[in-house]
Parts: sequence; structure tokens; C-alpha cells
Amino acid sequence: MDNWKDIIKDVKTHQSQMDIHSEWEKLHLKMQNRKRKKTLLLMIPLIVSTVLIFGYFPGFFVKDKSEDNENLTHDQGIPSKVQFNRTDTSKQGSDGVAKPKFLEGGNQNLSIYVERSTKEITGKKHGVEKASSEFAKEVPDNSRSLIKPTSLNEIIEMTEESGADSPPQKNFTSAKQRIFAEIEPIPGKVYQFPTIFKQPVFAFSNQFLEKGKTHFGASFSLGQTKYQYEIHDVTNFSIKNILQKEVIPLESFHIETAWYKDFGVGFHGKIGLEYSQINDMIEHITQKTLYSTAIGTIEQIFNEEGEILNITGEKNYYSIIESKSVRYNQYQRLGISLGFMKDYNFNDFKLTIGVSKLLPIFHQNKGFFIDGVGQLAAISNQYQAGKEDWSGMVLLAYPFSNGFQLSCGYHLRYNSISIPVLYTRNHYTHSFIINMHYEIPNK
Amino acid sequence: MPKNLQDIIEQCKKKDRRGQKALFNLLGPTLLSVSRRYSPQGIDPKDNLQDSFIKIFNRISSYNSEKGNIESWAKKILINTSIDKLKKHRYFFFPEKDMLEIHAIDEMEQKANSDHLIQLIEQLPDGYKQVFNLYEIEGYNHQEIAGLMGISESTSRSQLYRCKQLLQKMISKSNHTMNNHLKAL
Repeated sequence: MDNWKDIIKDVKTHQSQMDIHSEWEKLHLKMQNRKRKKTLLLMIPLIVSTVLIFGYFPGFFVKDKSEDNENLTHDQGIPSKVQFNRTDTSKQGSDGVAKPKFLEGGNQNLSIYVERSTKEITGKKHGVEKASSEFAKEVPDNSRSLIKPTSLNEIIEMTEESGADSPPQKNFTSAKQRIFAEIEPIPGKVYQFPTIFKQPVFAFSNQFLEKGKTHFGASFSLGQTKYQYEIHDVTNFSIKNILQKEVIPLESFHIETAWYKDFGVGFHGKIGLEYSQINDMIEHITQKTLYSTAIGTIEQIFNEEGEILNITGEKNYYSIIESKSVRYNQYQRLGISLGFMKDYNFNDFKLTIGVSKLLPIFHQNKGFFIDGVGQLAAISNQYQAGKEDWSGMVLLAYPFSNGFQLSCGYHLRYNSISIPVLYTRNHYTHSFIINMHYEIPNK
Repeated sequence: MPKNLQDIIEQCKKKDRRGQKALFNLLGPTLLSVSRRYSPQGIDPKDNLQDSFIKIFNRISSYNSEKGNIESWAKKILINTSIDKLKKHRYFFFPEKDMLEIHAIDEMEQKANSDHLIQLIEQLPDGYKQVFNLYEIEGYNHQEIAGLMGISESTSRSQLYRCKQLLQKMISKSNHTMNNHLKAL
């Protein structure tokens, strides 16, 4: 019994043999991986909040339109729509039709022209409206000849003929319509002139920002198919064979914030900032054959008397040793993503098909690859920015919803990495992805 | 406590890699033995050891040398990690007597008794292994084991009894000298 207690005591303090150095290396690697994952998990809410903050940024650019119009028209002495429609009974003409202040006296033809410009202000939005409002001042004389002047009194008389019982206000509105009908279309270049020179990029920017929408998206791969590298620029068949190893894709994810621009008929374009991380694993199995020769009895012959005749000789043996090496690689990219998509609607579901391209501005690679002579080399030393191509095609299905959308679908990714002097490596990855999409409302 | 160990702990508290490596060198072999005893079938004891060390390094700031030595503290973390893994993966499996499969170990003769016992414990079914380790080696009572593993006290008692029977059979198959000691249990 005492012995048993001693054994238990020994078990308690027992130390197992281990390769401390290699075990520490493994532990160290594991700790780093966990730290990276932890950092990444902490980064996600940070990215989300950053995107949400910047999602409201366009709101600062887009000013209140009505305020702008008021200021503009007052500054230039041009009446706004409100002023135009207001009837001043104290200043009604002899025909009982209310006339706006600016129509009284002076050159009536010019007044008609100013009125037209005022309608442009109130009828449209965005930057063009400001440009056209300035037309009254800026339009060159030769352009005015394009407008066929019509006497206001003449038109008002025509209006009265068509509906003598209509109230003055109504008559006036009708007269206004007729005036516009008499104006010939003004060539586009006349309108564009002030657009370009008087309201430059900022006006266009306002228009773009209002029509575009900010989206935040993230996609995670749930399952991917194995693939093989397509190796180019290597003539040695055996080395090419070594390089063409099957790659097992591990987890990958993409996070992006992008401007979506609607082109109509379900077409969208996007430009944004994307972070992509792809992890993969390469199993490399090599077989080595070892030959050995044994010298000894290879045959025994027993005769009738039981005597043994041994025949000695050489016997060749061979053994095949299979060794496996596993390499884990990680590719991180931060870049500008460009995409073009088309939406199809099916009852309550939406199907999106699109193509995208990533233009990396920052890249980080971890892991090892086999170089052109079959030796292991660090990826980070060889891969170069700008020598790669990341493209993709996506097919997503999701129910209609406001703002937040969760979808799943198929993602085809094409990667091409060129390692200078050595070789170019291409591959396609097919993956099933889950995608999260949030449309940030513009203010 | 030697001053050197205190320095190592202080370095670990500052997340210094050299200190962490020194602590791993110091405790690694002992904890690997514990991990071998506690790791469930299908989980590499070294993986379990790595996970435990990550927890040890993360929680070392809460270690108080006045309450006990670092080895017992680290061992406790490893035991809890192993039991958590068992619970998480639902590895608790208490086989019936008829289902027991006994593996003979013939090449154990030359090995030390404690090493032999650890190898036999490694082969035990997971549920037996935990109960035996906690009761016989760590000195827990059945109430504590029941609380720790989430089983009833009677289950703990019956599992320990069956575990000892199984160990006796294993020892007798391996013709080890320790057989006599185990018969006396």
C-alpha cells in the first residue's frame, strides 16, 4: 500500500519528456494567431462605427435646397416661385389680371425671359438649378435671339378668350404655361455654359452624393472548394509538378464600405474601400524510396533425411517513406474595390449578380511558398504589390428589406500573383458565402 | 520561492516573451504529464497543454504567490481547461463493464512504475480517467468531483470502483510488477 502511495506521489510529480523548443514555437505561434483573431474581432465594431460615421458625411455636403434657392434669388433680384405666384390685388391691371411686380413696365420680352429662368430654379433640384437661375445675367445676346418673344398682353388676351370665367389667378397660371410653350428649346450648350464655369465641381459633387448611397458590407466564406495553382513561366516539368499542389482554402472574409451608384434598370456601380483576408493551407506530400540489401539465407531445402541445404544470397528491400508537410498561408489586402452589379427581382426576393475588382493599396502576406527551384521561401519577400490581380464574381439571393440585408450566395474569385523572375500563379476559388449588407441612409 | 522564479513571474505579468518561455521551460514537462492524464481520447495532450498555457499567461496577473505555488496554480488551470473541454465536446463517456476493451502493454517492463501508470491512465475511458485522477491523485472527494464534473456523487463512486477494476485487468495483462500493489487497493 505504501508502494502505491509512492507511485501516486511519483505520478503527481511526474515530468514527461518533451522537445521544449519546438513546443514553445508551436505555443508562440498559437498565441500570435489568437491575438490576431482577437484584434480582428475588436476591429470589426471599430470599422462598423467608422463607416456609420462616414456614412453621414455626405449629409454635410448636401445643403438645404430651399434655403439655397431663397438666398440665390434674393441676391440676384430674381423673384422666387413664391413671389411669382403671389398676387398683389392692389396692383392689378385694368384687365383684372394680377401681375407680378417684375412684369410691370419695362421690357416685357425680357420679363418673360426672366420668368423662364425663375421656373428653372423652382422646378429642378441640385446644382443645375443654380446655374440656370443665373442665366438671366449670363446668357449672351446671341442666345436671346433663339427665344421667340411673345407679348404678355397678347397671351393674356388669348387666355381670357379660352376661359373668361376663370379667376385671375388661374388665368395667370394658364398664361404662364402658354408663355413657356412659346419659348423654343434653348440649345443645351447655353445651359451648360454656366454649369461648368459658374457652378464647378461642387455642384456636380452634390448631385452625385445625393444620388449615390453608402453601403457597408461584409462577407464570410462558409465553404470553399479545393483548387490547384496554374503555374506559368516554368518550363521544368518536374518543378511545375511540385508547384501545382492542391490548396485547401480555409476561412476568408471581406469587409468593405462603398458608394453605390444606381444607373437604373437594376444596374449599380460601386467604388469603395475593401479589406480582404484569405487563409489557405497546402498539404505537400513527398514520397521517398529507400533501398537496402540484406545478405543471408534466402532459401532452405530439406531432403528426405531431414538435412537442410541453405542457399545464401542477397535480398533487396525497399521501403517507401511518405512525408507530409503542411503550410499555412495568409493573404491580407486593403484596397479600392470596384464593382458592377445587376439586380433581378422575383416576388419578395432579389437576386444580384455582379463582378468586382480589387486594386490593392496595402498588402501583407504570411507563409511560405515553393520557389522556382523547389525550395521554401517566405511569401512576404517575393510577392510584390501591383503584380497581382484580384477579381471576383458574385451571385447573391436575399429577401427585400430596408437598410440591413443578409444574403447568401456563390462567389467566384480569381487570383493571379506574379512572382518576379520565378513564375506566375493563377487560381480560381469557388465558395459559398454569407453576406451582410447595410445601406447607410444619406442625410 | 526562489528569486529567479519570482522574476520569471514578474516578467510574465509584463507579457515579456522571455519570461513566458522560461515559465514554459519550468512547468512544461510537469504539466504535460498532467495533460496526458486528463486529456480526453482524441485530443492531443500537447494541444491541451498549449491552450492551458495561453490561459496561464493571460491570467498570471491574478496569481498570488501567498496562496500557493505557481505549479499547483497552473495545474489547477490545466485541470479546469481539460474538464471544460470534456464538457464542451460532451466527451464524458462512462462505458458499461461489458464494453471495456483492455489493451495489453508488453513493453512496459523496463519503465518506471509512475510512467507506466500514466500510460495506463491515458488509455482509460474519459469519464474513468477524470474521476481516477481527481480522487486518487489530486485528492478531491466525491462531492467535489461531482460538483466539478456535473455528475452525481454515486456516479463518481461507481466510476472510480469500475476504473480500479479496469486498471487491475490492464496491469495483469501487462504483467507488471505494480499489479500486486493495485490488488491491494
